[in-house]
Amino acid sequence: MNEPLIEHAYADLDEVKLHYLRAGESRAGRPAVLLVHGWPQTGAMWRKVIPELARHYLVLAPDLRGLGDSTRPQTGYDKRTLANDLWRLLRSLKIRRCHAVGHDWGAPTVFALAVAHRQAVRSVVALDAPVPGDGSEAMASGRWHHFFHHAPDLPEALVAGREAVYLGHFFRHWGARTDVFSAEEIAEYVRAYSRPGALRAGFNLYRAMAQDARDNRRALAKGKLKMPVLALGGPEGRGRGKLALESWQRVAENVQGGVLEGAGHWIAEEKPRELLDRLLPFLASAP
Amino acid sequence: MSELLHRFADLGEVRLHFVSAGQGDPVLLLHGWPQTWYEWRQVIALLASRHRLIAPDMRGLGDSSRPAAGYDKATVASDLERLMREVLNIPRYHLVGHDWGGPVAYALAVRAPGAVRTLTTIDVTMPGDGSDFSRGGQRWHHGLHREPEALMERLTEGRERLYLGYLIRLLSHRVHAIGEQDLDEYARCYAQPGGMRAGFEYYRAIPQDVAANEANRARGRLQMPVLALGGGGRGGRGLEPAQSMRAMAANVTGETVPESGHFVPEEQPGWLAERLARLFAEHRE
Amino acid sequence: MSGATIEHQFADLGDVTLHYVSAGAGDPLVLLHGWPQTWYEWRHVLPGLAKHYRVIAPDLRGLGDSSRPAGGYDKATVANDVWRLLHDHLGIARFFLVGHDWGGPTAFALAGAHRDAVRRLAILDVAIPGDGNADISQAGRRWHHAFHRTPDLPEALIQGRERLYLSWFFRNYTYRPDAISETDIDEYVRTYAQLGAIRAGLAYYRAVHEDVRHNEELLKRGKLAMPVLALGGNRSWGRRMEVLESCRRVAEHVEGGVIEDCGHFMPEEQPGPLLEQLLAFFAGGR
Repeated sequence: MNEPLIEHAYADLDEVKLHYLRAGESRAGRPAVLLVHGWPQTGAMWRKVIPELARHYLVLAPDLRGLGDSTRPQTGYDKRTLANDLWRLLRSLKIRRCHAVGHDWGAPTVFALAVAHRQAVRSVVALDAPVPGDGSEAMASGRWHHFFHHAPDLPEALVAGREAVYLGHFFRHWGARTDVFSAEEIAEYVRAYSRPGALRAGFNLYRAMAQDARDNRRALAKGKLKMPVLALGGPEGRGRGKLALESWQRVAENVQGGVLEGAGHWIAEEKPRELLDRLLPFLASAP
Repeated sequence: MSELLHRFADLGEVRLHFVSAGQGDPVLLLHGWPQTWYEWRQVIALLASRHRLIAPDMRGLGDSSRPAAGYDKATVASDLERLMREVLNIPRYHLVGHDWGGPVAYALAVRAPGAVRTLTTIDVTMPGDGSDFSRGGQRWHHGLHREPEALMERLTEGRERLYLGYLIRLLSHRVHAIGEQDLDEYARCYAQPGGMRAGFEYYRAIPQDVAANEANRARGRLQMPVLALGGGGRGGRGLEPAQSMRAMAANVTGETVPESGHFVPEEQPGWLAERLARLFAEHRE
Repeated sequence: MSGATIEHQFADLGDVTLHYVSAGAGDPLVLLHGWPQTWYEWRHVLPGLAKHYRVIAPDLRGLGDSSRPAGGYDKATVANDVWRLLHDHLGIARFFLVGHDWGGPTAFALAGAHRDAVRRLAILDVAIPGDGNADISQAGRRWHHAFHRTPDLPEALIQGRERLYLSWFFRNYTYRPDAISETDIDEYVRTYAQLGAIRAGLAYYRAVHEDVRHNEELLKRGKLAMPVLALGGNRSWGRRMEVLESCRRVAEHVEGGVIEDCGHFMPEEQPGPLLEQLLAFFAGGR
């Protein structure tokens, strides 16, 4: 059987142009599947799960504003704006309903999308990340890099020219094993983050955290999410373990999940098969 | 004004560089990170007519040697206790510690309580005081410095002055107080081979320090008079140092330093010298 | 011989710490610098002003020895820092105000937000964004406006070359380049070469659309009523009569014109004539 083709595509949204990977076909009655990456990655992180998903769904894996091959506006790195970029992407493709899957910062982004479009987002999958403003201290707790990335100027200055050192450190130490990524795979991410402005955009994701928490608290005042949510955390390495599920249980009514055995933070690349085994039935069962 | 003497003390495992000046009741001044004895230069000038001041570069830092290990504060303190007792024959002294010099001073006071007349800590809290020393990741440099595989050594190589300069500005209220030439002096030491590594080792020893101090606290609090100062301006820790010291010592006076951030000895040398002189005068032998 | 004792102070306003110098006694007079400069650009006029006024010259947010927050470089926010310094920190209720270069739009925003507090306003060699003339960049001639608004590239190119870049402006935007010596450039580069200072400076330009919108809103409530002195340098990159024209669009009572033999860096190129004009103008308001 042929592997579905993965295409590169672009959406011109005025102040930002989004690059996205696209595979599979739109099918009657089936929402598209939107895959949203985090830091320090790009849409390419989903490469191991896209082919299987594309057999059943139209799959879109964008590069977030400022990252990968998307353009890098000066502002707008709060997750509400990022989510609005994704909504405009969907609308430009005449897509009215989607399953939204997010990893790392992609998960709070998908949360922001879901609270803004509670009918259009049919289900949410959140991988190894809590929701800022969920009422707990989970988001940044104990994670020095959240606070380091928050500092103006310094992270860019220390990491510039040493992206392989800094990003490589996360890729080696945040998974269950140090060899999750090959040298080529790390080099690919490093190349993306070495382009002018990519480090800035990435760190700006963290600098918007207070804004994100405020936006989320305001959105939750209108009620928790009602669509089905699957929240998985990696119990190994520096994965969030069960803290991921606990956070989403605070912000949504219909939540399942837990931990994905054997995985650290890089769930979709460490355990793609096991992820698909959880993902496919969940997506199929969403109304 | 008496002269500043630069000397070295060979303690076997480490060779300490230290500066001494003045006459009178002895005072041991312990610097912090990312600094050296040099942070005390103005305070020394102001107190030298009334006190004998000893300002060493602590193990691994400044112009002292850089052993592979021993950066837990109890070991660093033992170097200094030997310096005072064995090398200088000074049995009893006032003790002042800024930043990491504070936990070192505490460890020294625990080790040799009879030697310490008064203890002053400046803009620092104690590991093992019962609270989270790294404040849930907010003191992000703790986590960053402690990452394995020498991450921070690799990120800061050739960029030492940039990094140290940034942190110093970030935590200063009177940012003029530490000028470009002063930064040059600190960078001179920290940019030497092993200079950054040794500094990061102070942070890597935090779990050991926490455990040691929890045990120290269980055995009882320090009894000598303690003055815990915190900068009242941007970058200063206000009354947090006093709150922390109260877990470790029975007789604590807490004060904030006006118009000062973290780098009190350079931001407010006059205020500090006067305050210390008063403390020392109140506790003469 | 100046004789003015200049004091350096710091005000911790929470989200920003402002460095400022103060000198003299009397009615408060506030001097706001521009890019790529600091309080230091006022050094020649400060002593003369300090004989008659309590002069306060801050380093604006992100620049000089003030701290460098991640955001807030629209001029309304920068102006609010100055307001908090004067009103909250120093207890000053009314004052005279001078702004040069970006200090001008900042002063305008401050005067617009606190119309009763600003007694008289002087604007030096700058046009006010949102004054109705869409082209403060002079049809691209002031290329650095568009360059500074380009994301990422200016930082990447300027980093490590701050002195080279800043010196170009000091040498080319003056009519009298001897007015800014190598030692003066040392002082500017001292802070502009620090981490974050270039980024902060660029952010002043990047916020211009927000400034235009804010000023258009402000002007709907009416032009400024306090007397305004508008001066432009008549040579090199000085803005000549543009300053007066711009100020007339945003304020009711405007006087001024040009300073002769002067480029953009007025307080350093022609401190004598400038001081004379400022003293006469502010004396009218006492």
